[in-house]
Amino acid sequence: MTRPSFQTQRDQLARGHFIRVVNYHSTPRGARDELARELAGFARDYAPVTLEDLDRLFETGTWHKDRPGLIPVFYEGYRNSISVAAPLCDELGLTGWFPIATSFVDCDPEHQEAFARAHWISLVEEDTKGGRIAMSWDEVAEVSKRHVVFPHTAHHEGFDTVLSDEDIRREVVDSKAQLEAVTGQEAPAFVWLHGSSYGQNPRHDQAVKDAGYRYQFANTMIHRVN
Amino acid sequence: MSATVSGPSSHEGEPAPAELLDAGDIVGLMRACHDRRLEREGIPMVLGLADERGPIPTATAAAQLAEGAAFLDVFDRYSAALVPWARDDDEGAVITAMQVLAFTHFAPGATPLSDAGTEGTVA
Repeated sequence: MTRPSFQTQRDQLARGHFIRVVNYHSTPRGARDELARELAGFARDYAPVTLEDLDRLFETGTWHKDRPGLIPVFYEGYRNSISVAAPLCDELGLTGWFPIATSFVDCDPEHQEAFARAHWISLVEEDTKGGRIAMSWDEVAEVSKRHVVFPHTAHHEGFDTVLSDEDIRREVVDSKAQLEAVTGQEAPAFVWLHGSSYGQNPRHDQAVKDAGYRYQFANTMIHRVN
Repeated sequence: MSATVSGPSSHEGEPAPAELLDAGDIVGLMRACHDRRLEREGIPMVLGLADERGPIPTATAAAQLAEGAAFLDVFDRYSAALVPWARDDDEGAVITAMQVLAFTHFAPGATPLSDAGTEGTVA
């Protein structure tokens, strides 16, 4: 397995094995225009990356479009992912990748602010005015029709706090099954809180592999697992 | 356990990444990329690709290889400037150097790699 290191990063860059990613979290309505400008700049300079594009890059090692690829990632499953981020991606021809903390979506809207504060999900002022903060399951299904949707664990947990077999099943396996039941398609990737890489712990690696994930996203690389 | 995000609404008056690079201020670039307003701006990253099933074929596109070589050059320069103390397997240090690389060379308004040349050479 591939552990993060300076030499690993050097080898990957030297072989042309890299991809650009931009990570976003909450994308509030009040900052929509700024986000639109930033995404428009990316859409002008870079090509969208679909799941099939990423598969092809791993299979061939060679990027096949005329502009370099860029993956905009919108974390957590915020309601503004569908009201702000996804429509901007649609408008600009970008494929958004949406890692979702599935229990955040499941949580009663009345308790979502407390869920967020209890699980390292950052809030903006708009989120504290009352009402739903996370996407609904119908909205998750809607986003999955044009973008890539996958679990960011169930409760926004890191591997170092997911300890028992029950914890692993809930955060790694059940989150995938729940998402797939809603979207009707494969949840192709997984990412731990803090973007921990594959290779940190054999038990957690095996759980991700056995659950059938194709990719694990991490802070220094994307691992192809299955 | 989670903070409500608040902070400056713009970077007005702050030097652009290209200006910091021209001045060779790599520490300033690190500070600037860590000061991104996360409710308004993305965090640019360049991620490596690792196939745990077997080797990935080496890229055959000249442009892709040239870009990788250019990224490698600035990665080594920024690593030497910022984290010369780091072990090879210090993931946090790798992330720090790669964040500065991405912020400096592919965020909107960043300096294209082809212009980076010898500018920003670490003192």
